[in-house]
Amino acid sequence: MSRIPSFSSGGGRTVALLVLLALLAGTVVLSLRFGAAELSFGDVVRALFAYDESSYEQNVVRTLRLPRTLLGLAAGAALAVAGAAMQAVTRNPLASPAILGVNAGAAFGVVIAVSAFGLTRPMSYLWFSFIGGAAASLLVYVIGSQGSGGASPAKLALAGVIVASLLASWTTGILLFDQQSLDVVRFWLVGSLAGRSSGVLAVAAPFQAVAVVLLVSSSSQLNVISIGDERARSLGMNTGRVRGAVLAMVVVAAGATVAATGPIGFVGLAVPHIVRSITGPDYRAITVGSLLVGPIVLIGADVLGRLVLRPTELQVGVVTALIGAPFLIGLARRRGAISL
Amino acid sequence: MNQEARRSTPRARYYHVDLAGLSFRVSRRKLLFAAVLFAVLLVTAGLALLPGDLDLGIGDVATALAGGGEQVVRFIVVELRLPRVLAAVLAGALLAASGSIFQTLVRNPLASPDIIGVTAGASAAAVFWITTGGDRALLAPVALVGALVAAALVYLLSRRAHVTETRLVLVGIGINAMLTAVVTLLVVRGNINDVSRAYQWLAGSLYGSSREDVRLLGLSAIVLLPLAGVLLPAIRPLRLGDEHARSLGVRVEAVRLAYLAVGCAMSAVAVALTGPIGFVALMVPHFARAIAGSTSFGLLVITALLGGLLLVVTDLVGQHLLPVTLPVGLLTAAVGAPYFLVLLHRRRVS
Repeated sequence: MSRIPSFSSGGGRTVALLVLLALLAGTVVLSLRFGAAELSFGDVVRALFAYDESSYEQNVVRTLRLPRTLLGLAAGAALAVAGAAMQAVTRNPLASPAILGVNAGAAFGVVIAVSAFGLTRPMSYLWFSFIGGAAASLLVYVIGSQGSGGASPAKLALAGVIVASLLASWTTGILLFDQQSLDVVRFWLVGSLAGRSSGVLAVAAPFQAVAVVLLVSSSSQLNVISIGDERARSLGMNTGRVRGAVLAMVVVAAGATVAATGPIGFVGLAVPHIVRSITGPDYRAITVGSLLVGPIVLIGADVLGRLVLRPTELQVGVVTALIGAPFLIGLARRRGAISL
Repeated sequence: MNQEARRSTPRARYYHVDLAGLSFRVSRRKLLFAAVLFAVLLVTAGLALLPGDLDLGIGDVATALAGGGEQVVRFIVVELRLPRVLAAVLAGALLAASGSIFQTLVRNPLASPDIIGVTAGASAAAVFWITTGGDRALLAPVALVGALVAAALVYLLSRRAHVTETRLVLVGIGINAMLTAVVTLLVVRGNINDVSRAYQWLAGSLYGSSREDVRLLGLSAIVLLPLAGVLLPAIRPLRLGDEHARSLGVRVEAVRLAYLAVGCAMSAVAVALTGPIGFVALMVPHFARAIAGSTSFGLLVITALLGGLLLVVTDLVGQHLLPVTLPVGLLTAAVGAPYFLVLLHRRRVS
């Protein structure tokens, strides 16, 4: 396959990569440093490299801030890369993993766990959420593959909308009659990195890591399939199989993330657009860019959410939307049209 | 029927209609289909007046509608059941038609009035009103204002020299995300009893539809549906791209704004009065296209009829066929989904 130029030179690409890595490192440090408890950078450094168990400050870093930051790292990367892959295989700028019914399925799983089994802690309903999301996506894929021509993007999208609206209405239906569950579930439905034990990350991270690595390493295939099924097929690609495999990885990445954090909107949708506006249409650059920009955005939003209403905080799902949206709007206005 | 047959006998397949200087062509198949749909809708709406706490016969209902019979029966039929059924028909028709308008305009099968922020705007305003203890009687006007403000915001922010579909969609996504975040925030921070009430509104319901509601919905339908039909011939060239349309003498910006405004007004009124009833605006246009083909006034009529029918049937199911009564918004997807599967199997969805 011929190389598609994305930046003006290979050197430009390296610089961009270094800048993003530096930004990411900076965001991570900020996330360890700022929050309800007052800490110094010294506490952060000592907690990481010379851990003293008797220090309250260092305990905050180790037991609260670090797991939360790592969760943000994993979630941001998984959501953004899954979003980029989703937009490639569906060739739809509106596509995000939510269109496959992942979030709606996960929410339904959580509602079942809370209302039927009386579970109340994120770790205890993690699997319900993951399985709910995966089952919903499988259903979407099966429905979207009916009829002639297999799973076309348009059919998948429509099937996704149907399944998602079905599940969403069941979720709302249960919550309408069960105020107690509503009181638990509403806090899950915001999407937050707070209050998750490190056990949550330990379960979700392996799934997220495998899916993200596979998606990033298949970015050449994403390039081919994003030019259209006809042309991709004429280049010898089995588009049905590639699309199915990519969608499966998207579901694993997004499903594990939503199970761990609740539905965090906007990152999967907006980050690929933001990256694309810089890199151009080459998915090899877009996936790597999303891998880095996703966590920067998510952790950055989380830090901001901790600072604005101190000592209480704004959930990250709310912040990503409130901050990310004006940014996307500005981008849309400045660049004329963001397109695929 | 194939293309050849259609071309060789054009007169047999189309009727030409002249209406106050406006002339258009109606395909015979669509006309027939619309007539059948209208009849089915009338019968279903009539049947929907029969069941309830007091089951009535067809005779009772007919007498009550004519202004006779027992006063209690007349009250139940004319004041309670009729407004609800009419609200279902009209809200369904408005939502479906506005969905069709947005899908034509944005050229994206996932487009719906939600894109321009109508639903999110109405929801944010309504949930704010409910969780801050606002006067219940003003809920619908507040939601309507929210819907229109959000739509205006999306339109104005996507304007820059001129509005492109992509920019409209992206700005819409942005505004939607912000307003949805506001709803989430209100839901998380609110008192659980208020949040419960907000959830009821968010489910989308026809419960308590009044004569005033019906009057507003009816007025909107009577004004906006023909307006959408009148604008249709001007919209069609936009499919060829803005440049091409302009070279054909179409005033692209003005036409697009007018069409957008009509679609917005339709869905804003419906959402403000019933809450966000999902599925109808997004899916009914697909059903209609699968049955009745390409964009035309006939298709718009069929879409509206189909939307009305779906909502009446769904509300009937939600009120009477289940062990618990459910708001209509929770069931539109369940009632509509099987039909979508049938269409997929008949290879009608592309």
